[in-house]
Amino acid sequence: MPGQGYQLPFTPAELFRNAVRAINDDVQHRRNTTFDKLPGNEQDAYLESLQNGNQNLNGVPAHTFFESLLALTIEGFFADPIYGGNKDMAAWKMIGFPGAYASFYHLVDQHGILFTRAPMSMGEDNRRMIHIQPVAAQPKAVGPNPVGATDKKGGR
Amino acid sequence: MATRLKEVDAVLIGVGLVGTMLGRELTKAGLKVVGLERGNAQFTVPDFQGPHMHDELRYSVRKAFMQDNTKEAMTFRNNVNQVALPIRRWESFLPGTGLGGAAVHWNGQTYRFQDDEFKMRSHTEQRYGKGFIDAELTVQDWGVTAADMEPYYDRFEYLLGTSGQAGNVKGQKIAGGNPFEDPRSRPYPTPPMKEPYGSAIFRKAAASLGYHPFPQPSSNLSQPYTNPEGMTLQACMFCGYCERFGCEHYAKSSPQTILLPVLLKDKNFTLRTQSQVLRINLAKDKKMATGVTYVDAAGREFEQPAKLVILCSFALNNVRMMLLSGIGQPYDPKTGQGVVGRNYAYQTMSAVQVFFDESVNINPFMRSGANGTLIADFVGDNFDHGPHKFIGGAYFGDVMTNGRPIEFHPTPPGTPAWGAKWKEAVVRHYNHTSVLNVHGSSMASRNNYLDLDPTYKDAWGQPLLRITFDFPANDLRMSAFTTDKALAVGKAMGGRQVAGSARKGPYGVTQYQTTHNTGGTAMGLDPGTSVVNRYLQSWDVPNLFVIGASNFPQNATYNPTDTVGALAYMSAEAIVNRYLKAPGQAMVHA
Repeated sequence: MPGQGYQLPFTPAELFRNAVRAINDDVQHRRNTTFDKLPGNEQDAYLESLQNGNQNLNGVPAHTFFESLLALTIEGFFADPIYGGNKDMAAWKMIGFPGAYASFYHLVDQHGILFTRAPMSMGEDNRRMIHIQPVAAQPKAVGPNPVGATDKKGGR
Repeated sequence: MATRLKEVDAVLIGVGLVGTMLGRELTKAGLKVVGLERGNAQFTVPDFQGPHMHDELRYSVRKAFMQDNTKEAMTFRNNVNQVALPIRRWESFLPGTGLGGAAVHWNGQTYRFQDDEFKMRSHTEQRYGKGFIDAELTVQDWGVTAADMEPYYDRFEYLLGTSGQAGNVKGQKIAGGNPFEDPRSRPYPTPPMKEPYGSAIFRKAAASLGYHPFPQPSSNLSQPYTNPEGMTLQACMFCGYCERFGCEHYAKSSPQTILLPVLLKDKNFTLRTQSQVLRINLAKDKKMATGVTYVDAAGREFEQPAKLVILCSFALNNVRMMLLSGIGQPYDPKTGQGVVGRNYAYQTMSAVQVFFDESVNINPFMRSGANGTLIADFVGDNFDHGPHKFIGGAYFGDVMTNGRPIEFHPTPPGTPAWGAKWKEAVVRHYNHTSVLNVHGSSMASRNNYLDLDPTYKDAWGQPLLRITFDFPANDLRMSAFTTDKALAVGKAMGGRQVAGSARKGPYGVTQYQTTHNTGGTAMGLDPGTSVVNRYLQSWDVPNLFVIGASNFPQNATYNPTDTVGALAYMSAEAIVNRYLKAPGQAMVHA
């Protein structure tokens, strides 16, 4: 019953690894390439087929994977840049969200004012440099169904 | 084998808002009190400080302050013909945990319930006739009136320092306040909050339609305030990180800012965190509680004997503790018999979005958890229900709490959920949209109840609480009517486009609505339909008091916290002034 929410046995990491492996295999099989090398319009069409589909992606229903992918993408896009997305606070600048400021007491009753100060990250130091956890090289997928062509060619 | 500890005068199950208040009242009366809190200790400094508190992903999306549902959750189904499954992600409601409980991350919206809602059945039958209430609804009177509750509301609001504009002081109507409110004995402790832009537009539109807009009463304070306990709060900075967050500014009334430091200094009080209470222990004849059994963080089991047990955890957990302890007769929906778990209700929410021209900068991020402007014209029985064939009502207004973009990026209906067109719409509308909340009542129904799940257990091997709930037809009719009214005000606000729809069934747990889960240990005058008497004393075990939103026989229109706090002071006064003079005696005879 959809109203009861997520009930699959996978942790978020397992859900993504299983589904991404299945998608890579599928694109490899049908198009002899990888998803990231498809043209933009074909990527969109493929994502739509996941959004509306019920394909079995190594145990993950396609629409469940798509919902998780969309939710995490929005989280990464709009979260504080300390998490590695929203680079240079581009998403915040795009919509005009100021980020981690602590006070609008003096502005809240200036109705309709255009807030133009640059946004602020939690990870900024006093030189306005944002500290981000360094990201190591992607670990190779493990298990019985490893990532296809990308790995064989020695990665990106 | 449990280690038996030395007996104390009173033990508190949960040290949130109610636990802190009862701890204070009972230690002040000279009792030795132990407070058992399952979560961690946490304080304004260092735990709620900026800038790290301003982390939408961690606190709002990943829900860092909420109950750990890998250890303890509820199961849910819509009706008895379905199999309930565990709620594996908190979405619909967000049970808190830790010292201070949900009052750490509440919004501070502080309303009194109306007299007609305390007398839901008798008032309705008197005005509209006996057949007016749907047969499936188990709506009943509380056993108290607004006048009974006034002194306790007053005392609680002065503890919080609530900011608002009174509409009725001792029967004298005051312009700008809520004209429908029952008389209050004095004005709010602090003046209303500044009015944000979207709220000002709402106020003008609502007034133009003949309604009566007023500022939302807020326990995020408009100015510094020192409460009767000597605790000083500061003015709210409208930072936009309130609900789901702790307040770094000492501006939100929470146990940490209004009372806990006073209680923790009292030598009669002992706090034990990371203490998971498993059950309330009973004497052989099951007529008296002897204390509680709990497990600490190291897995050691303790028995804490106590002369008086105060069950004051979150509403749902209060009900579960009664069931786990075998106190009171569990409700059976087949027969309608039994009381524990009966009258579970929620809140019937909907929303209206007003999309403005790009020249209108709403600045949704300049907000507080409780601010803005609303109308009470459709609250409770403030309007004639006769032609509409439902009971209850809703308040609505622009009472937005934030513009945090992971969860707030409104787009008009018809916008795709992703891709270039979605992005374009988000950019176009983010800073130019006002959202009206339609906050509706929830009636108890014979089909909605709480019991112990037959299958799923928590990390300590105890059955989870099972929620069986769907929206009663009455509440869906109420939502259709009030959402229509909100859409009309939305249109009068001058936006380019107005969107919104009434709440529709079935209820699901995948979308946030509110954490206003109520009922299951209803208060009342009849032990056949309530779990506790009007002083919140158990009908079955007189040295047990159960306090919280679990006492509500059905949920009223407004947010519950003011009423929970008032009930806590009412019960504490009865315990100190009456119960302790004749301990172990029932204060009301069935």
